[in-house]
Amino acid sequence: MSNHDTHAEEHAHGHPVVSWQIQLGVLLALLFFTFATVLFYNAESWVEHAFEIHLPGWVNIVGAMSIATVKAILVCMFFMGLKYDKALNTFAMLFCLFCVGLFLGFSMIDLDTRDRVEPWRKAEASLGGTGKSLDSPPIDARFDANPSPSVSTGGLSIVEFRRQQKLEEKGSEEAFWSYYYKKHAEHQHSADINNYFAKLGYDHHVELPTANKAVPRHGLTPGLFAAVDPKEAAHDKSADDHSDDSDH
Amino acid sequence: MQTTLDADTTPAPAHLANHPTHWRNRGYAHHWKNRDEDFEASKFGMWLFLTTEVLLFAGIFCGYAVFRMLYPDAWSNGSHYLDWRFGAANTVVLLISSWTVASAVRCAQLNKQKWLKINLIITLLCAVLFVFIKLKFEYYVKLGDGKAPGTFFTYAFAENPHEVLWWSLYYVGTGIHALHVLIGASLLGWVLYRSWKYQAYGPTEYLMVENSALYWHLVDLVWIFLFPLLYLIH
Amino acid sequence: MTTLDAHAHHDEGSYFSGPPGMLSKVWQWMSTVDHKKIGVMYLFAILFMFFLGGVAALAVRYELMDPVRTVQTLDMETGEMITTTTGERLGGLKDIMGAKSANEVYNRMFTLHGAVMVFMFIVPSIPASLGNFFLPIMLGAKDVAFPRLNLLSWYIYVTGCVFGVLSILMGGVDTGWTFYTPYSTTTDADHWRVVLMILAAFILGFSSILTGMNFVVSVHKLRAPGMGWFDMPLFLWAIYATSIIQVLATPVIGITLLLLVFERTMHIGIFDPAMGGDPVLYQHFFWFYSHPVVYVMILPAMGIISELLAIHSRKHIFGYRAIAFSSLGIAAVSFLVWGHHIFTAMGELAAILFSGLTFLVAIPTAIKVFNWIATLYKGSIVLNTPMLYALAFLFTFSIGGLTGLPLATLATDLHLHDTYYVVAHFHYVMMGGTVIAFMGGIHHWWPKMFGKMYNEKAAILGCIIVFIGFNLTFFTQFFLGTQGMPRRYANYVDEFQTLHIISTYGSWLLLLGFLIHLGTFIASLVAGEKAPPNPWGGLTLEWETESPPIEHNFHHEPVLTHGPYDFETTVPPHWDPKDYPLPENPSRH
Repeated sequence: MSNHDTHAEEHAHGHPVVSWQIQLGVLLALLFFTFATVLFYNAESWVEHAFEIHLPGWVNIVGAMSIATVKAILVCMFFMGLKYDKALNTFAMLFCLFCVGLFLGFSMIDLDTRDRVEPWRKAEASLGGTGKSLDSPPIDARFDANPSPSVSTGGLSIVEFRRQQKLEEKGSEEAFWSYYYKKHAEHQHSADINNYFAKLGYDHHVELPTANKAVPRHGLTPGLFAAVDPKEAAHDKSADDHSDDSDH
Repeated sequence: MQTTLDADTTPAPAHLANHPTHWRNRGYAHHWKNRDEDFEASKFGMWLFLTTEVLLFAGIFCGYAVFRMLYPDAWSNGSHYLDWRFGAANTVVLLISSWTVASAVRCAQLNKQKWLKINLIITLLCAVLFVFIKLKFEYYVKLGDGKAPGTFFTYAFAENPHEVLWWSLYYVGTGIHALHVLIGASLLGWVLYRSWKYQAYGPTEYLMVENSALYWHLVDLVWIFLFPLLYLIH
Repeated sequence: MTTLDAHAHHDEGSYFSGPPGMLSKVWQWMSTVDHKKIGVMYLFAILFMFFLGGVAALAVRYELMDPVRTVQTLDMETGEMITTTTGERLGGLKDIMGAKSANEVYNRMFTLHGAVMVFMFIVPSIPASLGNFFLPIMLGAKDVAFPRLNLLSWYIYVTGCVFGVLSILMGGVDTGWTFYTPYSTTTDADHWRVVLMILAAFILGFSSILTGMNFVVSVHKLRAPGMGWFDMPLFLWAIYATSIIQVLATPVIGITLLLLVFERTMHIGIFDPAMGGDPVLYQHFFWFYSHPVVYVMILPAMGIISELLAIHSRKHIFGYRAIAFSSLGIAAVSFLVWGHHIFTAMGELAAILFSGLTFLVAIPTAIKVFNWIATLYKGSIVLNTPMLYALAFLFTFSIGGLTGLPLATLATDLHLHDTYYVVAHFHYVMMGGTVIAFMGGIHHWWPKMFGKMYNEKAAILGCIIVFIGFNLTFFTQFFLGTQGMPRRYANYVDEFQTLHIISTYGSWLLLLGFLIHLGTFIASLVAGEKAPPNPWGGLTLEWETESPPIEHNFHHEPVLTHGPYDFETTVPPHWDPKDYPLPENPSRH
């Protein structure tokens, strides 16, 4: 084995040395798959907007996660050397992944099926609690424990509570929204000039019916560029007309 | 088996020739029969440690999965707050660093001392770049907007009451990952220091390079999954 | 690093013959990488924690002697505790506990008992002390795979314990050892002691992981020449299975406790229903670790029992492979059953799944018990202390195991959940299983570890008192539980009082038994007879070396010539006819 610059694997005192060609090839493959996963995500968004269809949520998840898995396998096999290593190390990792699977699987089975067998339990065990408030629970004088979260939101969810706080701080709805636009104007601009979907006319306000909505991202809250107050828009079903005047 | 590597007779620099830390002068612990046993055992130990790291992050992934299942709307919104370009940039940075650290192992195996150091330096620079992007373009901006975890959350324009949870998981997940980046970088920095000062690693003695590299690859692996979960899945 | 260098020359004295001078001796122990010294240091630290947890347990039992509070109230002026009936003043605990009422003192006491016993005593107990000492010797190795990591794990253990004790000194925590949310995230919100206790458990986890890694690699890579997987003593199989669980389960408690700390300090909301988090998710996280860890506690005990029964009945273990594989089987099943701790919290579908899977545990466990009993059949049983403890284990562990089945059954569990039945069940498994086996193991290996024999009669007396005290304490609690006495309550209805009093008397007997053992051990260390290298006629490798072992364990690298349990065919190493006779057997060589 004197040709240590060829594809052949050399051995350093019995340990395999991975040739630089393989290492570079793996890096290029990894970069390609990174590109592919981003492309897939953007393509998916584009398809949804261009054809106004709604792809099922699993397309997005399965696409991203399977590419990630391929990348992980490449790293494990070549960079971490499992391909050339004792099978024991691979076995340890696989058994660990099996445990991860059990962990995720059983936890999710429970949280997803609390009301399956006896539907009346749905009300009893609402999934993940209410998310409504960060109230201080009433302190029972008999017990001296002091259960107080550092913020009391007075019955509102913390999201709503912060909105009210900011509204109060700004004094009026107008000031509130102008503060918002001012704060995000720069970012919005840079986001839009780099976003070819926006150039194509597919803006990010389009609301799709479920959570798995594929929209190009700008690092900003979607739907907040509407010139109208979202609350009013909710009352007024003709909000779609207004959104054409949106500020961007 | 006589290989090219055994035939490598490049002498150590004079001032290091008899230094106990130079790779040619390193022994192995007395309870092992030979150097190979020591090496294989340590590497197996490292892999076991990596499984514990995977299971540590499994907690984050489990939290992510459960809450995505419970609050898909909040998770979708949360994902839209992040800019995939920064995630992708960091992915590329980490992949390149993973490649350089794998090359560093190769250089140690082949006694290419200069390239060993260069590869390690590039890896460390990548680590710094990763943390910089994370802090400057993500944490700094997001925290400035009030998109913070838990009761520190002050962002007034959120739409879904459960978006707070998204930010909690985002910061815990990426924060613990960033902590691992720093730990891995410290390990590699130690390797670089010893390599620089003593030429401590060579064909017969590169366990520390190998194990630090394995740790670094794990950091990369976790990010390979965090990137699509946080930035691409919506 | 020099201590690890190959070919270094060492004198071949006993492992604890150190340099002269107190300071250099202390330094030698503090900086040692010798697995034997680390094992001994672990042993004493663990026994100290056992004492601490035991004091808390006695306090809890004392409180439960009376249906209303025994410790009725605190004098808010002086901080003294006042009893109900006599008005006797018990001295000030207020400052120490930082509690504002006697109710809180009780909550802190049982939490202290649980947290100390679980995290600081029983999880590291057998693997870290006896395992550390004997695993390399039984493998025929000079040390564990990573001696320096071993020392590190000891220091991490001590750090964790310091955090725990610090938290106790700052007033203790009242969350229960399980730290269930949302109570654990909101109680004592303006104090750091809860965070300290959580961090203590977090840190102790690292120690556990390092020990586990070390043992797995040692078993894989350091077996003596000629020792195949099926030539290993069953204790090692048990430790191996334990270590796998430690490595794979412990990181999850790490992230769980970390999230809990974030939850307390930043209210990140993941486990907080008020922010949309899910407290039951915390319970899933917690029990994904804490159920497998139940087998970290019991598996090494089972390993010890396999050794004790075979050696002290001088008979080949029955069903070697069945016992070995059942250890791995238990380790595998342990990851599938955590949900049975939260039957009442989760949905039916998952509960049904977990209930079914839980019954699987009974199979490998029963395989072991039947094999142990078959080992005893027609053996030359010697009723010494280790053997008595092994027999006590068979009795108490079987009760503990069988009473688990009603708890795995959904319908009965809904009734028994969070009652004293559960308390009795897991004490029968943990204390009647692990602690009893640990005591048996300590007595079995004491001559080897310290080179001194102990007073057999005193030890047998202690063993019998512990056995009776244990059963008095906990058998009554089965009745209490089925009658509906909930756990973690300081007060109860009058009807339960008789049983509670019996239970408390039992706890005092337990104390007496352990004090007798303590006296025996101290007497042995101070003035014990010198132990022969092989007092019981064991065939595993630790009996081939000196008592106590020399620094490098063996004078020459041992080569395996017989199995660990070939009592019928092998004359034990160092056998001396004046110590004990060997049963007639013409085929012995």
